[in-house]
Amino acid sequence: MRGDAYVHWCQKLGAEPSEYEDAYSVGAAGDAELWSFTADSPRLRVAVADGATESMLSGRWAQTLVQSYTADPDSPLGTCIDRALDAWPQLLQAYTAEREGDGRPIAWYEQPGLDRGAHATLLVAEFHLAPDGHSGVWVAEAIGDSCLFHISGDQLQSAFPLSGAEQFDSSPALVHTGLRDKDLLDKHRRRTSGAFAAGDEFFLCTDALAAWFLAQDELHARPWVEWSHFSSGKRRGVFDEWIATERFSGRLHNDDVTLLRVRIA
Amino acid sequence: MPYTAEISRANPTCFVFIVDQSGSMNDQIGGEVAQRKAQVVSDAMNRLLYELTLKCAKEEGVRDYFHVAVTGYGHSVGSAYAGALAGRDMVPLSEIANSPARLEERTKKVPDGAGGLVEQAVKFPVWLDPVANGGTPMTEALGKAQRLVSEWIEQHPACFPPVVLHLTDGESTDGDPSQAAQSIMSLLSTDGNALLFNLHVSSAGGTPATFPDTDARLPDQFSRLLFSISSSLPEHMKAYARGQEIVTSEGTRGFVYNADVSSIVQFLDIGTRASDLR
Repeated sequence: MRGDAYVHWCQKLGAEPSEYEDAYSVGAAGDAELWSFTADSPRLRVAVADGATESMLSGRWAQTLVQSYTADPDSPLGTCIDRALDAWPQLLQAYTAEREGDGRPIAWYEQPGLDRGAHATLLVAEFHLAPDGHSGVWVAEAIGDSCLFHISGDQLQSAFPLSGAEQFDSSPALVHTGLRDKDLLDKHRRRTSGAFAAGDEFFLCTDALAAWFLAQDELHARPWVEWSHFSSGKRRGVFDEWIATERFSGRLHNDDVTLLRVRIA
Repeated sequence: MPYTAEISRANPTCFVFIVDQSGSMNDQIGGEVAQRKAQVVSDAMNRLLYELTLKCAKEEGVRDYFHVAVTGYGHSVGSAYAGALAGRDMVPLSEIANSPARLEERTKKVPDGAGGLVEQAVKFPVWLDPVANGGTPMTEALGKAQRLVSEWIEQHPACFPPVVLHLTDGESTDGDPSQAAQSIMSLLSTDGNALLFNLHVSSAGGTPATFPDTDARLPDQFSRLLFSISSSLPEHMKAYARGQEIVTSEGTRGFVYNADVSSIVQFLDIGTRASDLR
């Protein structure tokens, strides 16, 4: 048995690719778009995050969070978040210096946002292949409304942390760069786990796709079938065309989208 | 469903602010420190533009989710922008951000990390100065706002319905403004009717009110008239109002009496809000 991970993403319609504020990371290399795990290398960590629109540098913060989680497979999520929080002041300082160097010092309307800090959702998952090579277990944790869907036997086995399309709004729980109250974080942190077998699939996605998925599932439309067409990085155009169609139809909210698929074969 | 259109650079919407700059705005209103009404209103306007700008500020600049007109009325009716924007009607938000008349140094209190507060210098942009002279041609000003909104909707038919916010001490000198107000509220994008909100700055006393659902406790005929020409708050805005601990009901209207109105900026969705965990 082996697992493969693929990532597809697309910025909000009307925005530049550089303005994409979601983030994803797969395995220790972080930026790979295709990753496999096998009996020889039986663990895989993946993460997806969504930087808040009304927040400065939220894309960079989302990236910092996901990389902190996948870069160190031995640390629990809390430690990874702490590491990201510790790294942030330096990243912010570097950004300010970069802007000075570019002759574009921080403007008056940016400073309050920088002072306020950046915000992002965070969804992480870890997959372990069992030593027998025929089964495995997974664990996921989330803060906010980025979601994981586990498909097994052509059924939606698990929708996490949200399970209904009506549960999405514009104020999800967010990890904030100024976060110091760990009890508060724990209060909003959700955790789930399960087992997987050959043929199972997992989708991790940010809110617009997650809301679409759950709305379609409520119509008994088996939305995972539609997403199975995006399985190969070589067919990226299929994903982009599908996103454009669904946005145009009004079924998919116009937002940055990220879809991370883990397929067990 | 109305009032659900996306607000984005591809589908922006507009704000039209109408500011009373008549002679009566020289009068003072109470509170802990007496202030000229003209000062209260220009402060409120500058605060609104500031909040709106911060809401849309990103690393590459301020995003044009909104275009904004500020119409003043007193000795005449026209653009109330000061500085480089003087004379302009509808201005993209990024241009507003880059063109305040001046930046003032102010102080604000911020947590010192040890349970106390410390004063911090901040830059505060000023786009409008307090002005108070002439009559109160409220009806004419509402008519001008109606034209601005109408032109906007013609060019952006699928926009989130424009919001008109009128700041006044309430005493029209060119007749009953009700008809002009109705003309604004009857303008329609594919997402719903334009919204007219009113802020009444008054020296008549009484209890400040934020988005009331009845005029029963308002102190005079002027505040009751302004309440009557204020749009009902759409459902999602009521939800945000409740989040600010404002009680709402079926009859809740976009009317504020002698209170802060800058919260309306938070009623508009441009994407995920940057809210801290609670």
